[in-house]
Amino acid sequence: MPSNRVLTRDGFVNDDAAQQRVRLAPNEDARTVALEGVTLVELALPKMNEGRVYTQARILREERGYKGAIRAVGEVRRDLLFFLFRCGVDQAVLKDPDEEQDAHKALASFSVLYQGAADVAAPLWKRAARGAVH
Amino acid sequence: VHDIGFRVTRNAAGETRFAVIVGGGLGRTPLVGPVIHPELEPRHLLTYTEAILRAYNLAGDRDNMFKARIKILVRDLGPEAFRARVEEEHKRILETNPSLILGDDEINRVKAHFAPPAWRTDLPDDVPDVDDKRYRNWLKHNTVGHKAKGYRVAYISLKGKQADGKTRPPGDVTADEMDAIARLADDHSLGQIVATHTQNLLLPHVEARALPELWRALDALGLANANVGTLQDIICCPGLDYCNLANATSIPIAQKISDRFEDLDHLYDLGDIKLKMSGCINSCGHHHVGNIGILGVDMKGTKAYQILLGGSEEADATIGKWIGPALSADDVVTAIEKIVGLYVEQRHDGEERFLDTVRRIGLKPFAERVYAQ
Repeated sequence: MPSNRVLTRDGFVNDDAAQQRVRLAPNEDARTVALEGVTLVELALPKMNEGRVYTQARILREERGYKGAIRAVGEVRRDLLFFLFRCGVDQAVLKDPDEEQDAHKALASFSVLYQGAADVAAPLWKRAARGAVH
Repeated sequence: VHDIGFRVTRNAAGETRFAVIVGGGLGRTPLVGPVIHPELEPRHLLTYTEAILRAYNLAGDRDNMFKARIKILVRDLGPEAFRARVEEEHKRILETNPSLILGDDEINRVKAHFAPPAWRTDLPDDVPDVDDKRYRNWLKHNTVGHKAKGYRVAYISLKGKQADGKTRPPGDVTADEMDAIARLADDHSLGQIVATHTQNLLLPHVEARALPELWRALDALGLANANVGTLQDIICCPGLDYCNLANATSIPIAQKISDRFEDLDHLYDLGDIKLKMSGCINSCGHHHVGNIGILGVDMKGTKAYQILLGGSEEADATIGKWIGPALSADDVVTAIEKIVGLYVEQRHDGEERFLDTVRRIGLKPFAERVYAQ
């Protein structure tokens, strides 16, 4: 049974039923989905190897400028968390509650971010050139 | 034949540009990718790559594992439609994430890591001769010119016979041999060794005056077989001997072919023939783009080998075509003999390359020769 516990960067919170939510299947277009009044977008992973959610999340953040919550639901495994969060996802419900225990470690899998993405836009070499990292 | 390829080119003004090729691949669906951008600016290398991946990620077929590939999407949409999607994504990425655009600073910073080594400038240009046919063959076939005066590039052939007289599995090198090669690289190549996709090694910066000494050292190690670029210079995957995915052995077949074509004068007469071999459809040996390709298959428990002809990995990349039913391990070596025999009979002026003869006369005469009763 998947739990209702929602992983965030600051630890687990309970699902808030009052959220204005919309759910996107992988084949739905993040560019045209209506976001007015929406506070939570759920991205569904029907399989763990579903790649489109990562692009959907980046489009919501980078093109749509959406600032609300993006939650990954479905076949969400611990291994995926780091990459989902890099692409703009900031909440996740893990498929297997047993994986909740170490989930926060997965979010810190790599201490240095090489590529630019939704969380840190500039790639490492650009940040290094600006003197932001050494 | 790659998911994404960049070919360096220059525009009319002489500036560096990249031709972008997308949607090639080997495996069960071999395809030569189309050019979707003829002259990409260097500063857009990352943004354009991201646009390609995004266009693919949004539209790639996820329902069939074998079809979840860039090449399948490009084939199904057609190059023009795929290009339009990439251009659309590229426009968006330039707006939303301009930090991926490569500035001159970054290009120059990376360039600095590829600065040429400190070549000597006082070297004589001439290459010493040794009164030995084996040295002269090696010089001709295993070394090529260098951009700096007084240097040459020397291949270390990992094909043909080893020092102990056994036939080397293509591309294999032992730890002891590698130690010796590393010392030779320190002594003769500014400490550099390059591994090539042809499963050989090369020493990139050899002083021409040291070539006789290098040849003697390599020869003593069994690493101076003067067969680079010949039919003995086979590319071969590990096959069933080592690989879990393989359907058939490949190394022993490559060794048998190597043994059958041992006479150097015969090899030189045959000229430039690229033979590539894979032990299964995953194509690690790139058999589709061999002038001669061999694919090992498992036919109801029996290992068998299919032969392709006419493939090319060069600028005119071409996927080879099957000549007929699969052959047994014994017959495949004989078939290669028949194929090159027909080539020798048919080539124009005794000069025409194998690939050009195949292109000119087609596969039918070769199939007739191989499958004749």
